[in-house]
Amino acid sequence: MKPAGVVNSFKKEFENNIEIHTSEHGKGKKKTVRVWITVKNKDFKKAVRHLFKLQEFPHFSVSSGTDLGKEIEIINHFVLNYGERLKAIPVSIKVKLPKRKPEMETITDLFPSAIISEQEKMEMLGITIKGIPRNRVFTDESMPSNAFPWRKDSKGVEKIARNLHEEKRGNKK
Amino acid sequence: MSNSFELCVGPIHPALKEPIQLDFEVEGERVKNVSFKLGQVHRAIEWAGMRRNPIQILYLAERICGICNVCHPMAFSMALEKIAEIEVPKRAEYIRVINAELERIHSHILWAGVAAHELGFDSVMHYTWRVREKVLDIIEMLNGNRITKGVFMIGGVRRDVKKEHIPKIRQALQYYRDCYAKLEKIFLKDASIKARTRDIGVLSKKEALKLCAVGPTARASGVKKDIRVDFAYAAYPWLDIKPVTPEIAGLKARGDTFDRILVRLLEVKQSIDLIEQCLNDLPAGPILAEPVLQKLLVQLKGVEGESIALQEAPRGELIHYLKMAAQDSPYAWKVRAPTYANLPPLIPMLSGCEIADIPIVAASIDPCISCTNRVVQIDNDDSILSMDKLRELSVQKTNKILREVKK
Repeated sequence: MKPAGVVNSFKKEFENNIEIHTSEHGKGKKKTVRVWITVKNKDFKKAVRHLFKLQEFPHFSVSSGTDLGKEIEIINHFVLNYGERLKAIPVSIKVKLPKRKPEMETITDLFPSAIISEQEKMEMLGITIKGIPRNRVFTDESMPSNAFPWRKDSKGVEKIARNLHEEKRGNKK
Repeated sequence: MSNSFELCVGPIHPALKEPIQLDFEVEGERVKNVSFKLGQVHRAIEWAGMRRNPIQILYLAERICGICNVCHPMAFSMALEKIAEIEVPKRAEYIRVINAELERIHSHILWAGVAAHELGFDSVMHYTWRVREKVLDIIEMLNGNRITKGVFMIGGVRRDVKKEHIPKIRQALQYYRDCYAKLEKIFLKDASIKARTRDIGVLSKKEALKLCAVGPTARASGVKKDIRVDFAYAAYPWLDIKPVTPEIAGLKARGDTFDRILVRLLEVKQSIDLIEQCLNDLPAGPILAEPVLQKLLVQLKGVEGESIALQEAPRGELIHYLKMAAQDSPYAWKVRAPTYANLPPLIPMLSGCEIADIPIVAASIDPCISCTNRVVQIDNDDSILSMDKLRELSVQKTNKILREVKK
């Protein structure tokens, strides 16, 4: 399947409920195409499931997350067509979560290996991913529970980072 | 009544040199269940990167991993070059591949030494690490440093491969061709190594696909994932390259520890061949798209957009996501090192194995745990010891032992 095929397949399945575009770079053998898809939160899981219609075992790379101000954007990065010379297609599926209720569904039932990535997004951005436990994986227990390193608002860690000398982190309670 | 016991390996344990905690449920010598905890050395590198300019990030990215210090700055550069629409000169693309493949040779041989150590063959460990010195000498000759090289720049590379370097690189490649037969004999023919690795720590092809394993770990299970082949970058699209699986050696992929050794050894051979191809085809021309760094920084400050760069690091697929918003620093930067992806496959590999096999099976994914952790914590708590306190305690202990010895 070519990138256009991936785009058409998603358009057919989701009609107007999807934003999809490709980014192309290079010429000849150096040409690469990346597919970017934005879906509504309610369609997110369906979009991830759709990948399995295109390949038996789509590859999940990682999810990235960004504080956009009023929303938090989560992007799950996948790869299709791996194993074929110069034919792999990175497909990134975005979902925007409102800050008043930043919740989304887990994809660990489809990609068990997504657990580390999903827990990292909960820890770094303060979102909730339904269906997985909220465990501390990367940040220390002494980090306040309402501080999230990748947030760019008052819930960020700028103040903590600036005043580390005032923090008595790790002291036994 | 349950006959099982809990066994905890790590985060500080002689069998694992990096901070990961593996919790085992064992029955006798047999592992029944396994789970892992990571994050003990998170260093907030992405957070720090989002407060630096792109050129400063190159040197930060290089410090994500001491071994993969070519891959991280290269992946970051590639993501930014896509956003800023910078075309890298062809000569620089070939030099990037030469550096990446030299890194793969040194990483795989370093790993072979660790594997030998985990199997109890320390003489083999010393042999492999001696063999590795040659590639480090070549890296030093090309870049002025053995490990952190500072060779990458957005839009190319900072150091050229000079005419006088080429015969010395070729000499080193020949040295590795000559050593290869011995390495093959030690690792693939030795009865003890075979007994300790064949059908041990098996990852089936289906599990490798389902758990999204990457790199030699996936390829040893017969999954032909290799970013250099599938989504080629730098000069790889112009080179003759195929994914290395056990089938290349005429063997059926079993996905065991032996196959993971086999794939890495074959990849050393492949890297020698790729460097040779690059030296033969190395085009003349500039090595940087924009040699004036101030101009480059001004250009990068104005760029907006997002991209991802995929790379085949020695341990597998490496991915950098970057979002620029016409500011000095990136708006978002996410790094996913390959070990991140290869930890879930450790669970089926270790389930059912014997306790004695834990070190070699865990080492067989070539784990680079610190890559997956990106906060140094300074603490006054008595339970956490400062460097000075540790030194003081070690001096006290040494004096105590000396007094006892003199008695």
